[in-house]
Amino acid sequence: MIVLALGLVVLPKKKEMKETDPKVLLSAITEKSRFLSVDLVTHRIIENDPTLLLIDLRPVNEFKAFALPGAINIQPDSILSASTLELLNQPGKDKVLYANSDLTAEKAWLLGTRYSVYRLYIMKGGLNEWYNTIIKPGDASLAASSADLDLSNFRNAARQYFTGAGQAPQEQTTKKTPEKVNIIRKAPEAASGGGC
Amino acid sequence: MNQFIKSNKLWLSLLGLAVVIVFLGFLFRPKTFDFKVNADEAVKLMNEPQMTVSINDIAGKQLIDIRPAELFAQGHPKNAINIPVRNLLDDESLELFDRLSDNGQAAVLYGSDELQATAPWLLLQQLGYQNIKIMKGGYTPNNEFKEPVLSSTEAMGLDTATMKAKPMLTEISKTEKKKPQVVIPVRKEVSSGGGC
Repeated sequence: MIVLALGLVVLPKKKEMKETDPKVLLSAITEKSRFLSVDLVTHRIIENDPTLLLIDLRPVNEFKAFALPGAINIQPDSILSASTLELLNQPGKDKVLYANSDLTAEKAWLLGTRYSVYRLYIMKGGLNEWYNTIIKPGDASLAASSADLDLSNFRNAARQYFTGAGQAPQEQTTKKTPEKVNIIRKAPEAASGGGC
Repeated sequence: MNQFIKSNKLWLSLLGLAVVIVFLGFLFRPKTFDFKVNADEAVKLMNEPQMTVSINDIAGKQLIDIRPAELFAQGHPKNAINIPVRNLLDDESLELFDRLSDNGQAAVLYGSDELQATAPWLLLQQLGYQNIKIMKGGYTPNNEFKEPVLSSTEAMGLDTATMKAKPMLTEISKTEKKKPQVVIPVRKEVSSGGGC
């Protein structure tokens, strides 16, 4: 009985939120796989990936000015609130944090991972990197290999997707005009049929 | 009772020995880390500007270089100590941090850039090492400290005017799609004329 009583005294108190061991957390910090490239995130946005959950950590006014499609705005100081943790603990979702750079997302990632939020990632470079890579026109001459060319083509297509920039939409309108002519040509055929 | 003890003397002895071993094992278990900072305090640390040290303010502070040993060997500031990220929670490292803390000496964590040091710094803060601060910027391959470029800070580098072009494009495309529907009634008028 004395031994059991001592055991109860020495046993740690039950914690409200499950915590990750600091050494495990340090090991997770060294994992590069916790970063997702802006190209990968962009690809998943365009594909409407249902497992992607974007968390925008920027101020509300910046979020209202522009945010990635489908992103949810969460302020960094509420990253560990009950409602946020409920959102972050959704099963089957890859939660991708981003702000303007990496720094805020990095801190939010550490706190989330400390409290055992799984499948939590950071968009490498943040929205500034996304903008500079995807939206700003790149130099196509830098494409040295077919893989580079594919990446360049993907970014051009993604740029059009997000901004409408480029000449592709105008070309589509000029191509559509001849189709109207084809429809009108059918009228004389009907008139000749009626002259019986 | 005495008969029960006598008949099961061996088993009772083994049971008592097992209880003692488990109890001793629990008492002398390997040292585990506990977070000294709760969730609310950890969130506050995210936006603590006093924890960031500029390059001009490192005098008298112990510099801790968390880059890999190879990079440290290629060049580092005078009096800097190299503790790669994965070794930050080793016994030797913790002894150093405890000694610095006991002596009231501030330490500054730095890496190749601010991002590299952010998560390790925030982890050490949560373990109670409040005297450890973080360098604003990082140590470059040119063997000098460098402040972060604007895109690596949380300042927004996004041109939102560019991004607003997308809703305009969708409106244009909707009106273009309606045009063929206008043409179709014209064909009906012609056919009715021929129905004599």
